[in-house]
Amino acid sequence: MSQATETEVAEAAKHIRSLHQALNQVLFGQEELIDLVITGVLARGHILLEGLPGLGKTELVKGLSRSLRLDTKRVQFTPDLLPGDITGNPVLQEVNGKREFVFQPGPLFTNILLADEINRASPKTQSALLEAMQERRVTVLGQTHDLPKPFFVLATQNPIELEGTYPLPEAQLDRFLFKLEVTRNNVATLERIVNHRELGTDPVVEPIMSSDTLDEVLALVRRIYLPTPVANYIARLVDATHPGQSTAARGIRYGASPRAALSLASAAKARALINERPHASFEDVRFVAHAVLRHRIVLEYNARIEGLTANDIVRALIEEVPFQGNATPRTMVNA
Amino acid sequence: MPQPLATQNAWQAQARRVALQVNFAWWLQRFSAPLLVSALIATTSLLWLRRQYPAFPTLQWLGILAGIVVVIALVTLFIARRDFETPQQSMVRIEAAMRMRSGLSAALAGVAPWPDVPVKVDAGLRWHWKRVLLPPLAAILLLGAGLLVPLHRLLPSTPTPDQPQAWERTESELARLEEEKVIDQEYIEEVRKKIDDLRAQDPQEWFSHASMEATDNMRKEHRAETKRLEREMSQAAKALETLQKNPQLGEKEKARLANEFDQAMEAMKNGAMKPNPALMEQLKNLDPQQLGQLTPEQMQQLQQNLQKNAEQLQGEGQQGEGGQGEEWLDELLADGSHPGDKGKGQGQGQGEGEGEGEGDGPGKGGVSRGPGHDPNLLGKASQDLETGAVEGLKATDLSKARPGDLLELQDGKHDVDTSASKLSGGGDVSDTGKGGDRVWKDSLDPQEQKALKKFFE
Repeated sequence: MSQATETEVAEAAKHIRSLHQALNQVLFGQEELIDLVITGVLARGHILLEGLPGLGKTELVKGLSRSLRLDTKRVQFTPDLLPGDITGNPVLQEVNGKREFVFQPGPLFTNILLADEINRASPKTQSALLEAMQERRVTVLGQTHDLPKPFFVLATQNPIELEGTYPLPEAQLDRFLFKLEVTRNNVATLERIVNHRELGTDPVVEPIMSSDTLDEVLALVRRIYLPTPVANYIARLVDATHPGQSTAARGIRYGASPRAALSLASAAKARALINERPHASFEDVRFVAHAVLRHRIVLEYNARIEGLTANDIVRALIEEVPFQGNATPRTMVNA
Repeated sequence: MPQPLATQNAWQAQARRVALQVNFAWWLQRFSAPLLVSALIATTSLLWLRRQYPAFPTLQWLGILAGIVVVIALVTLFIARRDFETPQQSMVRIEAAMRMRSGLSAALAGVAPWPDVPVKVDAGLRWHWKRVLLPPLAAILLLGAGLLVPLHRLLPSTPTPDQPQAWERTESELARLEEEKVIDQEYIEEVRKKIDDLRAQDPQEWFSHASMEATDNMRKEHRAETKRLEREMSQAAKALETLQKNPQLGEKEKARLANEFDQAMEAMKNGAMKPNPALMEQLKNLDPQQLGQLTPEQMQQLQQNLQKNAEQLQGEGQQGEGGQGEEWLDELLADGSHPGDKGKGQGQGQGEGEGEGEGDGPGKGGVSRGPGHDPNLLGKASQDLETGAVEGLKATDLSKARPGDLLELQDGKHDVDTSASKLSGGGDVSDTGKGGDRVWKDSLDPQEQKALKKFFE
């Protein structure tokens, strides 16, 4: 596979900038969130959006699907939702005079699945998403059905402290490329929302790129060069999340998996493309580190009691792990 | 040269410079500790060597030191090579410090063009001057001190302590006895061997308690033997003299004198110290029962021999008596031979000998004397202080009562549950604790308890 050229990168970056602008018209005052959502999509990852109701999570996903001209389905997760309700069910039908089970695809068969309030569904239903997210296919009654390409799950969840929620298991959390926190808006942004939006009406979003263009851009991300020192940095960063491997990891019970390292590499490449570079850099890794790692580390009981959050730990890790892998002699200091 | 190539070379030159700097820092780090330790060892060695060989020129010492430093530098260089980094790795330092977004790594891989070289290239490293300078400076100071600190000349080796005078005295007595041929040579050799055994110890042990005690015993034995022999000889001479001067004595009296002579002769033969071989031979051939048949000349000669030997032995005994048991004191207050004690030692050694008698003060010590027993040991019993006796204390002032004091005694009965005991199912838990207490005490480890406490604080 050839490396991405500067020309290709510049061409793709134009589309991405347009997409960025379009989404900024959907969600006001959340530039960084939009940046990360686009990064996640370009890295072909699933995204978990966490935040209080009404902050625009669903609007953002809907805006993304419209601007990318992708088929979108939305599932509102509830405690009584069954796995078959999202994967699809075999239905007894008469075919050519014979009665047989015919698979009726569920809402999972789409390009972008908006799994709203995913943590309201029972663990059984949540785990039905596992195969779909990782393998991009569904197996029902022994028959495997491929999902359409591209396939993204953009799930939203309420903070787990709220009642009537089931925390997502670690195995499923690991399948999400990013976990993004949607924060509340400031006064200026709220004023803008009040002036430009009306309750019950969706913002108008023009399509930005065709599915072919999207495929090309996604393929280009894979051709972005990942320098060896950057790969080394990713490896050291993920290794440092494990207890005993760094000072910051003292508050961690379980560190991040190798999938986290792959996710960091993928996201860093996507970030490089957004920044019109044919190669990823340390700074790209740092930018996506919080979103990639925060849901993949399990904190120690003591750390939680002391009020530490996953974000604090990741911040400490980033500060602790230097870009270059070589140790500095004690007769010198890093400026 | 095309521009991109020049830029590439410029960046690579910068990377080499940084690599050199970092590698030098690694070498310094590895070099510092051995240098400091070696300097410390070298300084002490230098001081010792300069004292031993004051004539060795300083320049040569400097040369040796320089050689040692070079060897350490080479060895540490070899060790430090494991940590050395390549120019490519240094390039990563540069791009990371200058926030070049991996531009140099990408350019090196041919993915992106080489960026322009800025005026100042920074690898984000600074020297830690304290760590760089302190060890070499300390080493220089130490070695300088080792080379330049003035030293006293090496003093001649300290002489071994004087041997106890009792040995010398005994040896001189033995020499005189040997020269005058008064006693048997075997005894002389035996005593000399004892002295040699004592002398064979470590000189530091010559004046130890055990050594002094052994010396004292040897002296006592020697004196006792000398006295015994002298006494026996005098007795034999006296018996002969009486026989010689009174030829008209009765048979009974002659037999008594012959018996006395015989006993003295037997004692002389059996003692450790025997008379000289010539006299012994003369006496051996003499039949005590036939003493009366000796000619007056023979008897006189024999009597004179015995008398002479006895006198010589008596002289020995008198000389030996001086300072009996006081050799240790003699040596301390030597007769002028001890520096600083001149005059003070005069006349010492003429003391009472063994035993100083009982007095009020402590004894004078010595190998055969102690400070004496406690004056109260054999006197009347001292007043019994009744230590250890237990006596109850009564707290009459209740306002000053302390925890544990018995304040009151009452007649009463314990509130005992007299109801019949019941059967209960095995394994029942009667009390599972109150609320969170059980979790607090049983489920949390000390660290968690601490963290929880801190949280609630």
